[in-house]
Amino acid sequence: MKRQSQHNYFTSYGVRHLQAGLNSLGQLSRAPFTTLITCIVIGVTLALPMALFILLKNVDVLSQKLQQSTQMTLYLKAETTKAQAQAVVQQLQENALIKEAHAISPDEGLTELQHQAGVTNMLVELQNNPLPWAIAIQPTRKAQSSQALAELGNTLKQIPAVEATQLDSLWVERLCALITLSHRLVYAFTFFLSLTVLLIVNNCIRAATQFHQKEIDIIKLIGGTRAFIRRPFLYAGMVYGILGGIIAWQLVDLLLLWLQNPINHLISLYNDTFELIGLNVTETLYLLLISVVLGWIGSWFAVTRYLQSRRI
Amino acid sequence: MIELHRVSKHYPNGYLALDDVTVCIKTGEFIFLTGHSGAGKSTLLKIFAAIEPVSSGDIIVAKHNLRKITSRRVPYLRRQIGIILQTPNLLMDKSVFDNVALPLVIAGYSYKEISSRARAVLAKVSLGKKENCYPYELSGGEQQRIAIARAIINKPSLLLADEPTGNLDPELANEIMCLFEQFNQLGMTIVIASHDLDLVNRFGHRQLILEKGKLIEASVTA
Ligand SMILES: Nc1ncnc2c1ncn2[C@@H]1O[C@H](COP(=O)(O)OP(=O)(O)OP(=O)(O)O)[C@@H](O)[C@H]1O
Ligand SMILES: [Mg+2]
Repeated sequence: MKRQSQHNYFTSYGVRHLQAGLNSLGQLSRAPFTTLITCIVIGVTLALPMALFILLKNVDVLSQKLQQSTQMTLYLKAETTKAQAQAVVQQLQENALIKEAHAISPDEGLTELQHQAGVTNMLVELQNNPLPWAIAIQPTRKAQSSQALAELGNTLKQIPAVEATQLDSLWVERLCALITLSHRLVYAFTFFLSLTVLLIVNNCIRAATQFHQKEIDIIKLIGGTRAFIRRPFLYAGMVYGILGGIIAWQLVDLLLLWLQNPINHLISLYNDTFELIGLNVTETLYLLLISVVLGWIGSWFAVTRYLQSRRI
Repeated sequence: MIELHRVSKHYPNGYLALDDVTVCIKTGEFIFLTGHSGAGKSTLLKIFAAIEPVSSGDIIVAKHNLRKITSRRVPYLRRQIGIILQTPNLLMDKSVFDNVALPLVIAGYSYKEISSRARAVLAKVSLGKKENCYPYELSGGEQQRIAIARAIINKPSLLLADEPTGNLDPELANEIMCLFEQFNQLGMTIVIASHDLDLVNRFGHRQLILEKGKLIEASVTA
């Protein structure tokens, strides 16, 4: 009556896990339709936050791209001559934070303004060009953060010929703030939808435990531990999770595919190109990992609650 | 092996199924538990196996104090006990072989060990040829023998059997009882609930008689 625990423990442990795994797969495949529906529900639930996440990721990249093209304009004092303006350009080009600087004459400025604002008539009526010389500056990449830009602006204001500086970055900053806020929203959203996935799996597994009530009672009767009873259900939960995760992944990919063309069209209007980014390998693995873990936790709670509710 | 001190059992509906039962069953004993229908035989066996909790009194089974046992320890107690309930509790979607082998699977034996022992025990209950059948393909008596095989496969130190021969014809019943005797001679403690007085008297072991939840006689008829 000695318990034989010496015999290749690990083989039999592995075999038992495998058996439990296969068992739960068998059970799920016996009701393929129900399983599929459940997995689709989980998939859609996971796809929603994933899609938002990807959307944000793309907006992030876009906004970085936009930020990189932030320009600064220096308006020189009204009496500045062309020579003086060019001297300032020379000086600016030596600045390490400035990639490019070029002078804009009052005439050029006027033409540009006419182009942009469509106020041709009014300006034509002006007899004297009121615009001063200006210098357009393209800061280097290093100077692209809003703080660096502000500092650069302050330095440039010290130059005697400079009347004022103007940064085209306010709206970019607003966008950044909005993105930060959206990140939080996506996290909250992800949290709640993960909870939903957990509850879906929990519900399915609870139904399964009820369905297998007699079986569980028998196993308890002949000395099955809680871990032993839990095992096939945990596998089932994990299978739900991973199938849901795969469905979510595919849905998101489909969405991207569907959006790529209109986005190409939109971006081409701005004479630019933009390739939508999807989930990279690490993120995909994370998605699958999270869905498996959610399935595991959901079923763990379901079985534990069931076991506590029955006294045998 | 089993010690009961002033044990009473109220079912949740308030019914008093066992009333102040005190008894001691020693290791290696062979006990018949008799009494009328509804006297509380099944209840007593369920209490031994920690299936039902007692309402008051002390109970020790295989060195486990059942009033204090944690649900974590219960499986290990049950592995020392072979339990045959009044209705054969079989897994209907598992073959006869798998049903019988289950206790060994749970206890983590190797596949080789499991299959040789399962075949041996199936032969002992004369079901060697039916190992690939499913329980619903078998007669009531055959199902009961599977339950018996499942209870003894793990060589428990205590065997609790509730009407194990209820569905069997006299010849088979006799065979099964002889099997129990064999196990008893190897040291297994055996408690059998039965109202088949013929059978009980034929084998002549110590009898515990229950009447309306009270233990009225604990005599040794040698
Ligand atoms: N779960 C339960 N809830 C309430 N009362 C119960 C429960 N199980 C049994 N009883 C009652 O307890 C009494 C004893 O039942 P038990 O099953 O122990 O009798 P028994 O001696 O095994 O009878 P039998 O020979 O018919 O099997 C019965 O009167 C029954 O009505
Ligand atoms: Mg009974």
